[in-house]
Amino acid sequence: MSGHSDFKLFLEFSAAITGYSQFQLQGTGQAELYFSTLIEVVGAGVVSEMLGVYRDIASHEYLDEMLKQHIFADARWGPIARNVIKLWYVGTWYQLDKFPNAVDFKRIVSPIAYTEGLLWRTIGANPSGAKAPGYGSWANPPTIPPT
Amino acid sequence: MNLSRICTLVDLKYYLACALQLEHATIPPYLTAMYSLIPGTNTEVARILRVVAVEEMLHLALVANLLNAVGGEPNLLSKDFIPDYPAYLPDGESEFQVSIEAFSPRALDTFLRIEQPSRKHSLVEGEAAKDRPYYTNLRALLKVDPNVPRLAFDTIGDFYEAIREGFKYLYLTMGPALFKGDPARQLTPEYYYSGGGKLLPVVDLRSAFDAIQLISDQGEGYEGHIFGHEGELAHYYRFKQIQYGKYYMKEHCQQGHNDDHPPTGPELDVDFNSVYPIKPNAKLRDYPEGSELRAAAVDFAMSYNEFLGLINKAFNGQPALLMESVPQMFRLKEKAQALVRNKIPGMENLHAAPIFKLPK
Repeated sequence: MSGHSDFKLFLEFSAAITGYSQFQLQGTGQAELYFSTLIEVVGAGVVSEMLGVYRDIASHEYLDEMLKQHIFADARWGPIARNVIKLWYVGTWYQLDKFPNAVDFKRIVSPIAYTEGLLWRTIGANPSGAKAPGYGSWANPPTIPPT
Repeated sequence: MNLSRICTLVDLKYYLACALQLEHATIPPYLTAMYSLIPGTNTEVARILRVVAVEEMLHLALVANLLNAVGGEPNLLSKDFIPDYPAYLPDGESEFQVSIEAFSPRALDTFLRIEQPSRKHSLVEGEAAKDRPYYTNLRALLKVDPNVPRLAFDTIGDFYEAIREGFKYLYLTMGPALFKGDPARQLTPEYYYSGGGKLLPVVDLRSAFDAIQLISDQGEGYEGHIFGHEGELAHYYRFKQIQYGKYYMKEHCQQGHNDDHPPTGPELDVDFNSVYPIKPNAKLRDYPEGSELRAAAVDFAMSYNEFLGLINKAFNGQPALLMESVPQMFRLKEKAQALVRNKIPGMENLHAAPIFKLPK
């Protein structure tokens, strides 16, 4: 499987497990970085294999249930998929300890990854210390976008 | 003999209405170029574009003050207020058009032309401007005398010089009655921050001159000097720094140096490749029907127009609404950034761009 189609699948997979659309995920500007971070730690072959599992269930009528069974309940894919969710939501790679290599340590993967975390838009707030929302805006209620 | 091009209060209001369009017309191109920069790269370019865009917003507010001071009514909602890019600037410059496009050498060249210092050319009458519909519409709306020539200025500085002359001429004939606007409609300094200059209320000839001077100084510099008399670098020279990839140093800019003097300071990082390749002057029809991208572009345009509606109210007697508009600006930024980070389906290597005006 080529890197290009793996990336497309990664986006589709990410949309399915985060609840955000591919447009919104691309809108963070972090998609390529998260994809390359994942590959760097667990290896392209493992990523390909996991995305293959996803591809086989992608068009299933009960996708959420299929994801639970085949990805999240799976000893091999579960921790990786959860890490992908965390990457998108808080911009942080959490140490897995399953792939002993020098890049598997807890870190915010880029300064922008922190500010672009889905966490902030999910709670309708700006990331602490970044994306200042304007003087006096703290008097307004959070603006949680309609889902 | 009266050398002023502005002879009546109606002429002055017409010029100021054009100035309002002019100041606004520069903002979407500057903002879009800034949004096109890949985060974490070109940080100094982003800072320069941000400062210039914020100061253009200040100029927009200053023009609203000038117009309100003479009893006019700023209107940001007329159908021609937002240009159809690519567009000529509303002061009648005819040598170049302004586009909504990614940061590039070409965009930088346009920005330098926008902020070009006055060359003190003799003004030509506006044959070139004749086919631009907003002149006709605006003139009809304001009942401008048909003998008043259409705007055709060589630079923004020349345009504001004409406005300054107009204020002077009308003050000589009308006296303080020229400033008959309600002072409560003035936007005051507490509504502006995060940029150079000051939001000056306009209530008399002195404050009108100060507001005009500030607009010209921030754009093209003060009488050909690279640094303004408040020590701020004019927009033209900020862009020159990007062009040369070097900073101007105050101690190297002696009096008498003009715009031919290249910067001599430390290097400034410019990376034209770290930019999202957005489609220049993208239109809604470029985005596939039914796509999320198209919905997001419509949402941006509607939010932008809603935002203009809010500041229009602020400019027309409710200045406190400007505070509410600030969080809207940040939300617009988020929406625009999401657009430029997405590719246009079916156009393999082109990214989307914000659209500021929806098609009729």
